[in-house]
Amino acid sequence: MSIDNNQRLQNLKWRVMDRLIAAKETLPREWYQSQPNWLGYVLIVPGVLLVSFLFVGLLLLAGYSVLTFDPIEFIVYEFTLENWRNFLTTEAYYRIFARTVGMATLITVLAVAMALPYAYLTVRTENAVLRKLLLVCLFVPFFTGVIVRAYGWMIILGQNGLVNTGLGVFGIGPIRLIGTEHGVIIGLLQIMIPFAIIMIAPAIQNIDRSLELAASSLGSNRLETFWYVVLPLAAPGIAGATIVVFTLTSATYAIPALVGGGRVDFISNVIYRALFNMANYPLAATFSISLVVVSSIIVLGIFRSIGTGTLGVTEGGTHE
Amino acid sequence: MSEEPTREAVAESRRQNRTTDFSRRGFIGANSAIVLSALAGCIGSSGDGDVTLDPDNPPEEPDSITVRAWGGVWQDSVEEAIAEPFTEDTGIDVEFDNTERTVMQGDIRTAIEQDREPAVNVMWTVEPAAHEEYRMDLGYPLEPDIVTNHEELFDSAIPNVDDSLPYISLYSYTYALCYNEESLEEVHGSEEPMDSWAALKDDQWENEFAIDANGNGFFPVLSEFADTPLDSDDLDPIWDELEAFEPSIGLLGDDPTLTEGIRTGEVSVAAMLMNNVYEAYEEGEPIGWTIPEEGATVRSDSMYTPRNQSESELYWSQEFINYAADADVQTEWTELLGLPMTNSNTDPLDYMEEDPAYPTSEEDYDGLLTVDLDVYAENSSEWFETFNNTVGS
Repeated sequence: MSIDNNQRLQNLKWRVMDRLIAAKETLPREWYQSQPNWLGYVLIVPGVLLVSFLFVGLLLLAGYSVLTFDPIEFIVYEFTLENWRNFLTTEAYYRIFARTVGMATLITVLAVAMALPYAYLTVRTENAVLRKLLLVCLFVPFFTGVIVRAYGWMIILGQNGLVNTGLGVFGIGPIRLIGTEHGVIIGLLQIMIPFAIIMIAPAIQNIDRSLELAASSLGSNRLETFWYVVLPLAAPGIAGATIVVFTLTSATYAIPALVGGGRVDFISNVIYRALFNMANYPLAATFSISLVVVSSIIVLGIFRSIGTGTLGVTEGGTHE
Repeated sequence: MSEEPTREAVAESRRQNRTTDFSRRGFIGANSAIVLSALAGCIGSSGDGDVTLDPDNPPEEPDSITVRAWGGVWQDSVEEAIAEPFTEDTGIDVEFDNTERTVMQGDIRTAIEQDREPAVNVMWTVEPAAHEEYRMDLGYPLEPDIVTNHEELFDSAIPNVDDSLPYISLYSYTYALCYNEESLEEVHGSEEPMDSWAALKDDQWENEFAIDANGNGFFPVLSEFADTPLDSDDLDPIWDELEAFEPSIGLLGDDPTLTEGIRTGEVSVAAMLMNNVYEAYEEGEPIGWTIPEEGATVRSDSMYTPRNQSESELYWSQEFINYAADADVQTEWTELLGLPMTNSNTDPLDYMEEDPAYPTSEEDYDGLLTVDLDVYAENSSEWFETFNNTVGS
């Protein structure tokens, strides 16, 4: 009997609850929904200010790009499209832009491809010593500045450097690496691979290990498991790594300037020279705006095609 | 060879001169300085619009002045030859700022536009840039009665401008053809360098030639080959010559990059400041330099005082420049820096006398190549742009 009573009591409770909820739904939502937490908005103010300054800076750059340059008077506040005309009609600038985008794409593909197995091994290895070693190798490069690393590569890749000395043992070379695209690719890869690993590793960490075991038990070998299970599930990390590596590479300066020996210019090198050697701020502003526009279009293209990856956020959903 | 006075003797001589000056100026000068300082404080202006430099009434010494300088042997030599005796005599500390000269030019310009004091009191820079900055009105003219040693300088060290002394040049150097003997041997079977720059157009020198990142020091050579002055309306013949040399250019960079390139044999030859490899040469490394038959570009480095300084800093900064131009100081400086000085009363070092890479007299400059400084100021940004578009792209 007591069970029946309990059941009736429970049913009554649910009916009351249903009525209350139905009554609540008839009220205006503002009456029962919690007020927004204004503290959250306060906390994002620094971020908003930072981004605002960035946009203000871009607007100023855009303004500079239509001002007149004079070698003696410096900037003449007269409107001109001469800088844009110069940029758009000079073949050399097209070549440098094409090189920048092309090599940034190549570096991105290579860096992500090399980072994937490294990140996978770092996350999945059961050998603690190996994991620590991989982590040390990953983070040690960050302790050294890019300029120092560039000079290091100049020593390693030089005519009498480590690489050519090693090749000489086998009767090869010396081959010229400084001042070539090959040298720049090597130098940039060493800088960019750690960034790619850092972006990809969390995505691999989030892959359910049992999915790999399931694939294995269904007959897949390790390579197939990696290709058909790990790679698709690591796509968010790959997307994030792609965006980060591409944007960093397309704006890189030191490696092309030093390892490239001035012969493999990226657009950043041209901007630097326009600023400091020619003191032509309007032209430098034109290049800068162009780089931002081109990079943004490419990154937006990546967003549209493979998503924002680990850089992105969930859609959030509604309050209900 | 005349007996050189010791630094102590020079310092003592200066000290005596200064003591004499102060006794003559005495009380009035000190009071004037106090009144001017108080007035400046009331007005609260950091600009130099109302500054008048009076050698008879030197203002009170500042605690320190800052000199923009290149690092390494450049700064060390100035510190030892100029700054130390200057500090000993005046009690003013000399600090150095190694900001790149092109960046500092922008900093000075911005400071003046914003009516701030510039980051440096003495701008030590290359002569073409000093002239450019004079044309931009960034400098406060040197007071001839303070920089009295300007009268002893070669004519070429005094800018050819109408009615002021915006800067002075203190020593000269050439963009000689520097070479690594071992690399030369590998490329063309002989340690001997070429007699003419023209040899570098040959295919065997592909990627074996290094040059300043902006082509500095090579434009007059291109101008010679093209038989076209750099102030011509049509510079295409010059750029055609650059195209001819372009395959040989394997390395572009600043002084340290070019020096390292020659020392390590990364390239066989370079158009660069020969004194940057002098130390390596002295240490027995297989390095040398020569002036090809077409000549080489000669340039100088200069000092000036940027605008918007306080009267005190401005005065003593100009006094510092006067020290730098002093014959005794330059005699010591030339030993430390390894470059020929512009004070005509300075004895050049023995090894400089027979070497055309070291212009030690007015006549020596005749065989070297120069750029008109006004032409440089008005056109160099276009030259740099074309050079970099040709070589860097």
